Amino acid sequence: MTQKQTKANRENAKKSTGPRTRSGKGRSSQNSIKHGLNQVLDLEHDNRFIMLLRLVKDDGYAHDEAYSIVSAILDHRRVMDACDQQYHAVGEIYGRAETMMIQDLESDAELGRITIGYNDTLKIARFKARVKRTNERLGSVLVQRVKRLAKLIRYQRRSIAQIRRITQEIKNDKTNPFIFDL
Amino acid sequence: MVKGKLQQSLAILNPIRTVDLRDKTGNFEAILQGLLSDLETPNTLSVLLCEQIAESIFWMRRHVEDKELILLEATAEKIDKAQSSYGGDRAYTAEDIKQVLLGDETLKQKINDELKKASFNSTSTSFDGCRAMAFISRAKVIRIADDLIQRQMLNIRHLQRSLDAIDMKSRIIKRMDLELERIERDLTVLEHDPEAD
Repeated sequence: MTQKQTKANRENAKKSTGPRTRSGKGRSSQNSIKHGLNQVLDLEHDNRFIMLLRLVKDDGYAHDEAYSIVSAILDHRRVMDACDQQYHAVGEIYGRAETMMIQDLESDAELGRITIGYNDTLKIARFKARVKRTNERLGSVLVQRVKRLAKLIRYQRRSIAQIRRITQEIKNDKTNPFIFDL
Repeated sequence: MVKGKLQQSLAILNPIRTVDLRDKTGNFEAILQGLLSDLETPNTLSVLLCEQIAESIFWMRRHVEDKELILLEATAEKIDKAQSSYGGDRAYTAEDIKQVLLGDETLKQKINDELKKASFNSTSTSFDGCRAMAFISRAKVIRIADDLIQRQMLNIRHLQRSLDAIDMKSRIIKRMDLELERIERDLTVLEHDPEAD
């Protein structure tokens, strides 16, 4: 590569340097994150946590107990939400419900109960094509889903064990200070 | 009575719902309502744990369905490969395979006849043969799916025990015992209070 080419490459690189806006940079900063389940939970700024903590304390639990159990449940939520996200990330599978809905529409149109316009016909044709494409790669979608979810099993094990441990501690706590707050 | 408890539980749960599944079937809601109506003493923690149990049951069913679909799809793929080596449109789908397994003998016979006639068939000559081949080819994934199902079963069991541990009835009894102990202790202190003398 000549010096001229190297210089041109550097100049061109300056013109396309990735995201520029704050939101774009924010999005791309998450690119390498797969599920983020190894990150520490930021509970202090979580409104949901604050609300749940207050409600559990209102039910008569001590602050420490309420804090532990609510944070354990929210940690479990984070894991299960990641599972749901991974499950749907591979691709949607169109089930019988959608296909039957389209069939019903078409039969209604045939019987003259409803009128399907040109645009709707196009939409139905596109949907059918999508269902066909999905069915063709259904096997690989299912396999990918199972493999992706398998990677999250250990996180589920951890979060559930945490909930179990804390509730057991609450049960065994015979000198519970909250009782004297009655 | 049951309806009243369900309403009571839902009133606690609705503002604090933590589970947000993309479930178009409504199965999750049905499971959740069933569990909530059985809840003896609904409070924030117990309805939250019920929600997590309902989600685990939902996931377990989802994994079972996926496992079944993997096998059906693999069988359809094997039949397709056995029938034709040119590719093109699928002759049978997972839904057709399910119909055969549910007892559609006519369709099974049709598939068997087609497999026997197929000139390029080097895979298998019967529906059952294709099914066995499909199982072998997906054995590893099936094992992973079984692990996922097993995980949900354990999740449910642990959450049930957690729900049992925070059961308000036993907590109230414990509270009352400790409260009585405290009153007794306070009384003793009062009796031996030198300033009181």
